[in-house]
Amino acid sequence: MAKLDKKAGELGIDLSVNICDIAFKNPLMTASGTFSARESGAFYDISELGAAVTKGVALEPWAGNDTPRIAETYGGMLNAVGLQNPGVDEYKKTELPFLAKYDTRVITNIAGHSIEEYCGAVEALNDCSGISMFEINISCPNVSQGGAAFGTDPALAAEVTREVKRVSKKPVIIKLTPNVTDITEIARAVEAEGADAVSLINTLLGMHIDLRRRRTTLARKVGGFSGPAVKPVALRMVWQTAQAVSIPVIGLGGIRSGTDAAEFLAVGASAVGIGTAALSDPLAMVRIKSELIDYMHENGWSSIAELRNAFEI
Amino acid sequence: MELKFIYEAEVLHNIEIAHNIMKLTMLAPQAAADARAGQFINVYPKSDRLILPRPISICGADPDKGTLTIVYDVVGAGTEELKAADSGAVVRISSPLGNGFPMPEAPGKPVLLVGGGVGTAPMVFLAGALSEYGADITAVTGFRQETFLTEELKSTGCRTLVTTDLPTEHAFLGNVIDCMQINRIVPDSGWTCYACGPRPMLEALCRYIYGLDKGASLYVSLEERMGCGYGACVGCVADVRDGKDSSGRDIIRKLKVCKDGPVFNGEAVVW
Repeated sequence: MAKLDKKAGELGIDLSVNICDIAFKNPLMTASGTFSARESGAFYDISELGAAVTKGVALEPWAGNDTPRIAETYGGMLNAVGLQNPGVDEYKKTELPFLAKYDTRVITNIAGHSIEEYCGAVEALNDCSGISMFEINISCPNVSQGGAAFGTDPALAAEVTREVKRVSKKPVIIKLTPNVTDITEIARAVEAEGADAVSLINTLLGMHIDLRRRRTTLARKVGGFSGPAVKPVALRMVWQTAQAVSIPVIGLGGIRSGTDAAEFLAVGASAVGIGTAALSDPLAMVRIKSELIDYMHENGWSSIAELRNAFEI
Repeated sequence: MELKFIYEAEVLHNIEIAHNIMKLTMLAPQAAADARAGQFINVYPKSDRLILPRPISICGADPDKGTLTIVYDVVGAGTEELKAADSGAVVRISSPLGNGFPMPEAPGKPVLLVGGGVGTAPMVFLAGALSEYGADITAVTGFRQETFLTEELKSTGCRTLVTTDLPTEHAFLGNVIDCMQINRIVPDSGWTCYACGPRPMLEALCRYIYGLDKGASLYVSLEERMGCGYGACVGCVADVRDGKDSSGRDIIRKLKVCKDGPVFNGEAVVW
């Protein structure tokens, strides 16, 4: 039993949540793209996590985009990594066995350029007992084929969901892009095709100019905007989506404190993802969990359900 | 797996050693004990609007005193904030990160250190370590005009050549390659060379050393815009040759500068 769960236990707080009939010991998950098992695990005990949501993995290795891939903005950042990943074979050989040593759930984020590639990766990983759920990334703004092209069109999002659900032996989360007029339309479309849950938001499409060099800071010119600056947008979209669908919503976007996490839970998220905060502070996951416990204790809530019910939104 | 930590380090001195070039010494005993030349630390800004760590190379470590010294160029809001940290201030830092420079195969052999601008900082740390190891060190450092850290290099006992782009007293005029050619520095198979500085300098040095074709080895420390600085985000990568495929072609991989580097074998880097 991890240390901070012990703290929750001593305070009589039960942090566990249930999503798609899977029990998670707490609602804190890493956000895909900001977590690597060995590197993040060098700083903190991965067993502290409700779930480790791993970096997007595709059927074949992807090289990702040219550098610079990173730009800092006011209270946020842009990335244009482009889903560089070693492919499912390497993922099965290195990342999964490493994570198996920890007492946490693994959610595998899946990338693809086409419906066939999404399904191929899911089939390749279907029988891995260490994986609890798949998260299908139809929302990455940094790839020219696939990615957000699927996530911005309700019909295509529905089609990916239908085909992935046809092959998947595990519950499927669809990760949604905020770069749409009405995110609830996409959420309803994937729910109708059997998505077990949705996660949002992926990054917002943004841009940054390097005035000294008189060009864009990112080699790709545009990239995904994340960090504390995007939180109000994320919170609004999570609230809207939680109203619109009856499947669980995993909320993320700019969370960097225990009270930020509580806000997402309060507007209807069943769990929360933490991403950019782990760049600002490698210990963010454990700190945010501790802060959430403190906040619940101060308010006398003994479960996540009590916290959620205490808000009138 | 090597565990990494976050420390609250007390600033002992933070002084401007050249225009907008700061040298900061802090009390960080564990980091000082762990540090190797070529590694860097993440410095975490305090301001809420600055959300990314600043990766800064280590210029020296004294495990007995528990101190760590970094030298940095003030280039933006993050380093401006750090510049304002007075003695007694606390800065949040990470354990030393990255792989550092490998030592030569045997002591007593000639080594060449090449530093460009603020890239001289890790060379000072390396010169100290190599001097203890018993290497015969030549250092070549290039600056735009104002020189710094040259006395620190000399104090490690190494032969130090200083060169500048614009005329300065007591310095060669020209780039580091010109300086090496004029001084007939021709590394051969007995030599190990190390470099840190702007990418064009590193590329030119690779062309020079490998163009000589005398079998010297060369390690270069690359700089790249980083996200996390510890290998989680894959924001900073460099194209590096990593073996051959079945038809004998180079396999080029995008390796993480922060985790797999920042030091790479110069021969493997695709410029």
